[in-house]
Amino acid sequence: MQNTVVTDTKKWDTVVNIENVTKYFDQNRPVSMFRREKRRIYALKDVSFTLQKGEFAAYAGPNGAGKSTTFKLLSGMLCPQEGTVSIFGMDPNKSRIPVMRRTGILFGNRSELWWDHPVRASFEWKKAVWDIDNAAYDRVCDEMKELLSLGDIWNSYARELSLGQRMRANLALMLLHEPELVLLDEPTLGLDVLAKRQMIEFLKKINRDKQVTILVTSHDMDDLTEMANRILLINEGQLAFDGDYEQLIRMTGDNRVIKLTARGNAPVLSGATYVGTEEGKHLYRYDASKTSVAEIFGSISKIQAVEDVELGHEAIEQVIAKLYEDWKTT
Amino acid sequence: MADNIKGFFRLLKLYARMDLNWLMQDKATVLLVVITETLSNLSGMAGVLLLAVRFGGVGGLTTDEILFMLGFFELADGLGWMLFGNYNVIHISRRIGRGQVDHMLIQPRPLWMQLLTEGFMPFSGCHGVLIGVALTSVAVARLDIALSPVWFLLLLYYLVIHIVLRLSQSFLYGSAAFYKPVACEEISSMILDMNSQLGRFPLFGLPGWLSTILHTVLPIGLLAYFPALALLKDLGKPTELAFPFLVASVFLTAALICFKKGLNHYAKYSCNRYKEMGHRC
Repeated sequence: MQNTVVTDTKKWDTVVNIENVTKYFDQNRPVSMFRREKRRIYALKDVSFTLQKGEFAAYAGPNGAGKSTTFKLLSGMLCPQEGTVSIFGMDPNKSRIPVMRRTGILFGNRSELWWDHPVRASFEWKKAVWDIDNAAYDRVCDEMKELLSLGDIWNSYARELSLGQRMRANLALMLLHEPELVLLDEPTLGLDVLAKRQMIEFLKKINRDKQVTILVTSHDMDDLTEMANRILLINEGQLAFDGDYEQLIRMTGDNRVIKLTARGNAPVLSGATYVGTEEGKHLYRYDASKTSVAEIFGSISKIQAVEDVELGHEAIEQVIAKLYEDWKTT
Repeated sequence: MADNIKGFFRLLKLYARMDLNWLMQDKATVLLVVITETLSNLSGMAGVLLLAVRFGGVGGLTTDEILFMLGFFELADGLGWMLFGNYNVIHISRRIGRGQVDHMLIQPRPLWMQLLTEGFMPFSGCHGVLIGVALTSVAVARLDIALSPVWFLLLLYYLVIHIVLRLSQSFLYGSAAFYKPVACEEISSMILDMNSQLGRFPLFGLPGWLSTILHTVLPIGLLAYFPALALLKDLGKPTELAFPFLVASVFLTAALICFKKGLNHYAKYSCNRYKEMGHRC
């Protein structure tokens, strides 16, 4: 069911190459107190894709789709049951050290900062472990302090930082050795709007200015459309789509979601379809390629009972469901 | 090779500096660490020492010889703690069970180098060594032992054997955490605690079969009792020197094989979500 838009590839520019990779886990699932049922869970099923130097790709999918497993395969923590994984032409499991010298990895739910030490101590630690020379260390630190506003937290203990501050510090730490490939697993997880914006802008800048190849996972469609120029959609271990955002919209429609907080029952909104009500918010869906935002706001402005409005892209699960429909009909 | 050696000492220096920085966060911390760790170490050996004082010796050793044995244990245990105690290196099953091996795999350094350097805490972890040196010195003075370079080499030899045995056991049994992460998370701590509790007892008078087990399969006799006898009673014959080396080599080899096998198992089959008794995230 793969929808692939292949771009011109040159082998010497290939940074990531995943070929026919299958990764599964065997589980003994409890069906009762005394009985276990053997189950094979496929995290990845015959997945193939390449990333060229300087690409900024989003690796998207719902929770449990196989995103983190792919990242663990790319970083050499896990190895596939079938297929091959290579980074810079090397097997990350067998050539872990040279691959890690050129790769930066950040898992959104983990921190590489030393918890009981000031932020600067983690940077000094990385300098020694990665063998970074003084000049490069000073240059990158100055750059990171400025771009990611680390000056205020430089001497703070990692344990004192807020989630957003911690994520910024982790991102800067990950980039300290100036990696050519950056793997980010859910970097915007839990960040507020401002912190998210700052991070996205920063990633775009290093991709543009330094030709850093970036692969970032997310299950948030809004983030994806903001960040990457290529989207790889994964679902239940299989690649469902590989192309750019425009192509995705052509296949699934530019579906948006409106969350309306209003007194009383859900009002009728012309141009949008009522989906349901959750936690006091009325949900509507509309196709932005057919109905403009101005028209939607025009309709909303006529409703007296409206207290708040939120606009966003459709959940990734819905996008994938539409891709399935599209695949079945074609 | 030269790069690895240079890198090894560079990392040791780094972790020593980090340890000092951690300790110097505030003066109260320094005081608290020194007092609590000293009390903890002293209370660990109080039982055997009090028995020896009450009965004028225990397990075939006089009170002063018991003091020497306990001093040796503190010194060896303290050295092991100082070299590998930080960040749960010696309690390796905690790192495996908590999924923290991933942090090591993204560092461009060999795993052996990381494991041999990360635990180094020469400042916050030196209490055991200081207590051990003090107790051993008092015991040596009271026993009137003739000190010589050979005696000190023998002391160093048994210290290394002690550390290798404890670290090997921690890694050998701790590798089970690769297979049942949460269930085995504390297995290294249990093994080390068992070593600490039993390793301080003199084993004289036990039945032969039990003594054999306690010097081989569960080698607590080699942690302090056997070395104390060797250092006090001139047991420096080649066969007596070779025996602890042989046992330590077997444990070290088994630990290396099991750890490597566990790591390979993790790479092939592990997943924090689907593993029975899986990783805590």
